[in-house]
Amino acid sequence: MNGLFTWLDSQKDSGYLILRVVLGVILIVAGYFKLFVFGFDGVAGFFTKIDLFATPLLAYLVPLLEFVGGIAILLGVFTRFLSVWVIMQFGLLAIYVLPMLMDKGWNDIRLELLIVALGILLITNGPGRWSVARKFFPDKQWLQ
Amino acid sequence: MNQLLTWLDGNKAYAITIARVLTGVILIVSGYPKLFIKGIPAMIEIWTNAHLFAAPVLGTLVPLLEFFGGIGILLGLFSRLLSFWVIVQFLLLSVYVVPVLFGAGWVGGARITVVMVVLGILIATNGPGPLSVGRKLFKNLRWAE
Repeated sequence: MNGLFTWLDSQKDSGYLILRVVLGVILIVAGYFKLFVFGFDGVAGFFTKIDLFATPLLAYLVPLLEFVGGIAILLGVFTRFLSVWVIMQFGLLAIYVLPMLMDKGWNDIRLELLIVALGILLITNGPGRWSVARKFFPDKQWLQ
Repeated sequence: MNQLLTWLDGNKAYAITIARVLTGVILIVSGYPKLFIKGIPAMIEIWTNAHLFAAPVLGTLVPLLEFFGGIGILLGLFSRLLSFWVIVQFLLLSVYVVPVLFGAGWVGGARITVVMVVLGILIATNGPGPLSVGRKLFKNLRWAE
């Protein structure tokens, strides 16, 4: 049993790689639809409809950050910076946008809360060993 | 900047505690209605009608494991062992139950179950983090963490 736990302890970086890949894919898919299917106007229209603040700004920022930020998180570049945005965006979705503006309940905010937890894991741990930043720029911590 | 990064590095274990508590709450809230509102016989019937394999076994095990396993994970008691079950259950949901049996897609379907698999893997590889009952009560028994 102890051998199993020792092996698991040695696989922490693999766990963070899986985290980055899944979070990156979630963000890329969400951003792709906003950017290339609905478009900025479609996103702005939806944000206006639900009465979201700073609609013109967020309608441009959110799709771009989701798509480009998702790619960067997947690769493991600027992951700690981007985690700040992930925590803010999905925290705001979980405590304000979904329950207050869209009248959603627990089942609909679970994913957003889990993504906040993934953001906290990523900001505190960094991208892990298997990342572009750590592989090619090991001395530049801010790039991780 | 370096000070901030050092502070973040120093608190990485607490991120696991946050993830563990949230995972536990989600499992408890999911297991509670299966166990105490619908009940185990109704769960067996629902899953038999949905053509889920081994419905009598899963209809009994899943509500119990979600509710009591969720409490264990929340407290950090047997959380590493329980995370193996989280990985298996939510992997099965992600690749078979949600897409094949329920016909649900990525958004509104398998996204959350895949994230639960990730959290299971992180709890399995990192352990329960600080504020764990298992670590407090059974210092030398790693499987109780």
